[in-house]
Amino acid sequence: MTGSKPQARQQFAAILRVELLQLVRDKRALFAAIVLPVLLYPWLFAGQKKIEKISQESLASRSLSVAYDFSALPEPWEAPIWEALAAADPVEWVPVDAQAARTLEEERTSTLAEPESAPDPVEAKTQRRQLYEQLVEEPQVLLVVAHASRSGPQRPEISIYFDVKQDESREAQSRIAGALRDLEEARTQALREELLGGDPAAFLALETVDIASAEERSGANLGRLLPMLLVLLLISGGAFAALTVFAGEREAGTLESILVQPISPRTLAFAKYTAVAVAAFATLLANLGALYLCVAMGWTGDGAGGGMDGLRVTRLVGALGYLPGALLLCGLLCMALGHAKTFREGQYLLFPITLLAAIPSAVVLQPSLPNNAVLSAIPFTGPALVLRDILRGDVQLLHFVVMTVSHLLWVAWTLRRLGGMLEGERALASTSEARRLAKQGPARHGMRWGFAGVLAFYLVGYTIQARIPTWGVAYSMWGLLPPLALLCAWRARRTWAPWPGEAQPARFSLAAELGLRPGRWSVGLGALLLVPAMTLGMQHFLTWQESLLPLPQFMQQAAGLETMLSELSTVQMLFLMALTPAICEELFFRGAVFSSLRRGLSTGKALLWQTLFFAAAHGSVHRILPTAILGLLLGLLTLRARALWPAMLFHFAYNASQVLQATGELPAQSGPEAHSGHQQLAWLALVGFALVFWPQRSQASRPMTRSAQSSA
Amino acid sequence: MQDPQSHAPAAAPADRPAIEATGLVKTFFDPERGEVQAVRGLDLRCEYGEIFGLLGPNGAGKTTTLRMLAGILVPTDGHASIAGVDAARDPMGVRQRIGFLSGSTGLYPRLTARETLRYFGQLHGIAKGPLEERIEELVEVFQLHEFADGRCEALSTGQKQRVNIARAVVHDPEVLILDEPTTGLDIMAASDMIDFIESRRSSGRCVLFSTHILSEAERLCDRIGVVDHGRTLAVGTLQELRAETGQEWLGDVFKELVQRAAQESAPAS
Repeated sequence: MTGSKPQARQQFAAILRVELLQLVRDKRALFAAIVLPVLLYPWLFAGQKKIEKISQESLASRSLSVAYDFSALPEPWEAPIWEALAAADPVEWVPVDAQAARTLEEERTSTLAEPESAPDPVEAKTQRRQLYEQLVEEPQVLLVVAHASRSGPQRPEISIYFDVKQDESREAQSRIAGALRDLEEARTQALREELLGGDPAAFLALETVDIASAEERSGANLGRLLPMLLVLLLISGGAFAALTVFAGEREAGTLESILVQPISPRTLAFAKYTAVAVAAFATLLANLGALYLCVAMGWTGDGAGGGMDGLRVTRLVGALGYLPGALLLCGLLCMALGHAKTFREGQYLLFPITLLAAIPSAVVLQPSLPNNAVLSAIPFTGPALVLRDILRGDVQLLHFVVMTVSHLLWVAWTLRRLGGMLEGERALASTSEARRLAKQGPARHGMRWGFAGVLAFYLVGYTIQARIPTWGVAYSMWGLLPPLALLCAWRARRTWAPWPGEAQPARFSLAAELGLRPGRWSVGLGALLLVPAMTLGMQHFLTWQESLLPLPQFMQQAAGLETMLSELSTVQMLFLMALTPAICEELFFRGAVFSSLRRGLSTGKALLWQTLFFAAAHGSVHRILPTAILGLLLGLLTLRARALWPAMLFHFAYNASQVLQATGELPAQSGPEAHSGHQQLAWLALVGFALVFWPQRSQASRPMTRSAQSSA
Repeated sequence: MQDPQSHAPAAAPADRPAIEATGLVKTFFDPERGEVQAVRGLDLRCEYGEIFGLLGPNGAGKTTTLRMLAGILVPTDGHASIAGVDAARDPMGVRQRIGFLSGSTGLYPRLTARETLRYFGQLHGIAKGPLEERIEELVEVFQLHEFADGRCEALSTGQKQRVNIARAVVHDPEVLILDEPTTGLDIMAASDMIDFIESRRSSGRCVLFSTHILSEAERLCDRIGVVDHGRTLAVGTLQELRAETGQEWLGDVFKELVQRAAQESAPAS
C-alpha cells in the first residue's frame, strides 16, 4: 500500500473536499456568514418601506385643527379658496379673533419693511411666538390669516404660520400650502392663456438631455458602491474560512500530522487557498443574489433601489471582471490569518485587513479619476477602477489586461508565501517562541523612541518653526534630534545584542550604535551617483502625485521658500535645508532608531518602520509618499554600508540639489531640453546601484547557520 | 489491538536498517543566544522487527530528532534515511514510508472517524477500492464500530487515541515514529497504545518512539537510546545498559550516564 505514489491532483481534491466539508459543517459560522445576511436583506428593505409607509399614512390620514382668520378676504375669492382647501381634508377649521390676528401680521410686516429698526431677530421671534400662542390653542397647530393686498393688482395675500418643530404643524402647513399653490397655478395658467395666449415672460425654453442610457446611469451609480461592498462581503465570507482552515488546524493540533503526510507544501497551500476562495465566493454570490432579488421584486422602496433601474444581467455578469481582485483578497486573508495560532489572534487582524483592502478601493468614490495602466496594477485599486468602468460601460481592454495580469502575479506571490509558511521548518520551528520573546526588548525600544521622536517633532519642533520663521528649522533640528539620538542609543545598551547577519564588535559601543564607523566607501560613492536620478525621478513622481492629489493653494504659499530665498545667501540655505537635516535626521532615524529596530525585527520590517517614522515626522499628506521613498532609500544605504555616512552624504546631496534648483544655480531638469541627459543619468544611476547593491564577500565568509542563510 | 497487516511479511528487505541516522545536527538561530543546538551529532540505527526507545528528559532534542527523521525539519548537518530513502533529499519518499503520531496530535473535530481515515488514505494515494477495505479492517481491529460515523469532537480521549493510531497506520507504514505517544492519556488509553506498539514488532516492522517515562521504556523496548542535550549517551538493550553502568534500575542507569557525560565534557571546557 505504501508503493503507490500519490498524485498531487488527487491530494488537492482530497484536501479541498475535506476543508469544504468542515466549513459546511460549521453550522454557526455558515449561518452567520451566508444564511443570516440573505434572510436579512428582504427584512431590511421590507421593514424600511413599511416604516416609511406607516409614518406617511398616519400623518396624512390624521385630522388636523387649523385656526384661521378670513375676515379680510375679498368676497369673490372666498368660494374658490374654500373649494381648493377641501383638498387638505380632514381639517377642522377654528376661527380666531380678527384684531389679534392683525397684530401678528403687523409685527411681521413691520420687521420686513424696516429691517434696520427691527429689534434683535431672536427677540422678534420670541415676540412673534407669544402673539401666535395667544391666538392658537394647543390642538390648533396652524394659523391662516388673509387680508387684501396693500399694493399692486387686486388679490388677497395669505400668510400661513406654523411651527416646524411639531409634526402636525408641519403636515398641516404642507397640505394647506399645497392646496393653495395648486389653485394659484391653475388660475395663473388659465389667465395667461386667456389674456395672452401663452407665457410672454419666458425668454427661452431649456431642456437637458442625458445621452447615457438608463443602464449606463445605473451602472455608474452601482460602480461607486459595488467595489467597497465586494471587499466587505468577500472578507466576511473568506475570513471565517481562512481562520478555520489555518488557525483551526493549529488549534485542533492536526498541523503536525498533516505536515508528515507526503504532500508538497505548495499543494497544501493551494488547496487551502481554494477552499477559502470558494467560501468567500459562495458568501458573495448569496449576498449579491439576495440583494438583486430584493431589487427585482421591488422590495427596496424608493431610496435604495432607485439606482438599479434598467441594469441588465449581462452587465452584472461583467462585474466578474473583479475576479482577480477577489482572488488577491482571498490570498491576503490566507497569508495574514495563516500566521495566527488561534482564532482569537486571527480576529485581531481582521480590521487591519479590511482597511488594507478598502482604502485602495476607495478611489472609486472619486468618479472623475481616470484609470490608467499604473493604477490598474495597484492591488485593489486596479480591480475597483476596472469594475467601475465595466459597470459604466467604458472599460479599456489595456487596463483590464494589466489589472488581470498584475493581480494574478500578486496572487501567485501570496501562494508562494503561503507554501513557505506551511513548510515544516517554519510552521513547527520549536524556538520561534523563544526567539520572539528575545526580540521583543530591542523592537519595543526602537518603536518607543521612534514614536517619541515623531511626537517631539510635532509638539516642539513645529512650534519652534512657527515662532521663528526661518532659523527655526535649524534650532528645532539641532536642539531635538541629536540629543534624542544620543539618548536612544545610550539606553539601547541594556538590550544590546549583535545585529543578525553582521560582524559586530563584541561589546556595546555608542558610536557603532549610531552608525559612526568606517563602513564601505563603495556604497558612499554609489549613493552620490544615485542623486541626480533620484532628483529627476522625484520631480516626475511629484508631478504625477499632483495630478492625483492636487496641492491646495494655501500650502503652496505656505512653503515660504520665496521669503527664505530673498533673506538668505545660498550658503546659508545649504546649511539650513541640506546639512542640518542630513546630519540631524540621519543620526536619529537611521542611526539610533533603525539600529534598535533591526535587532528586534526582521530587516524588512525594520526598514518599513523607520520609513514610516521618517515620513510621519514630515507631517503632511502631500509629503508622506516622497519622504517615505527617500527614507526607504536612506535606510537601504545604511544597511548596505553598515555605516551612517553614505546616507548622510546622499541626504545632503539630494537636498542640496533641490536648494540649488530653487535658487536657480542648477538648471531644473524638466522640460524637453533635459531629455537628452536622461540616458547619462540612467547610466550613472545603474553604476551607483551596482556599487550599492553589489554582493559583499565578507558576509559570505562569515559562519552562519542554515536558517539565518535562508532568511537573509 | 492487532494491526491486520501484522501477519504479512514486511514490505522491505531486512538487509538495510529501517532507520539510520549519523551525526544528526539541528541548529536554530536565536539572536539573543546566537546559535542554539537542539541536536548535536546524534547517531541512531533501528532494525525491522525492533522497538527502539529514545529516552531522555524534556528538552533533550527528542522531538527535533524525530521530526528530522520524518522529513519535516531539514538537518543542519548529518544524514538520516528511512528504509534506505534519504530524509533530506526525498522527504516525500520518507513520509510515504512512515507513520507519525505524537501525544499532542488532535483530530479534525468536524470529521467522522471514517472520514478521517479516508482523508489520510487519499493523501497517501491509496486507490478507492483498497482504501475502503482497509478502513473496514481498521474499524474492526481498533473497535471503532460504535463511533465510526460520529464526529470526532464528540469522542472520549481514549476513542480519539484509537482513531489517531488507526489514522497513523492507514497506509501500513514500514516504520512507525511515535513522539511521546502516551502523554496526556489515561491508564486505559495508554495501555491500548502499549499493546499496539507491541503488535507492530511481531509483524516485522520498526517502531521508534520517544519517551521520558522509564517504565514504558523498560517494558517495551528491545533497545534503548539514552539522549541528553542533543547527544546520544548510550545505546543498547536494557541488560547491556545495566552492565555498562553497573546499575539495576533504569532510572539509576540514566542518572549514571548523564553524570558521566557531564564529567567527560567538564575538563574539555
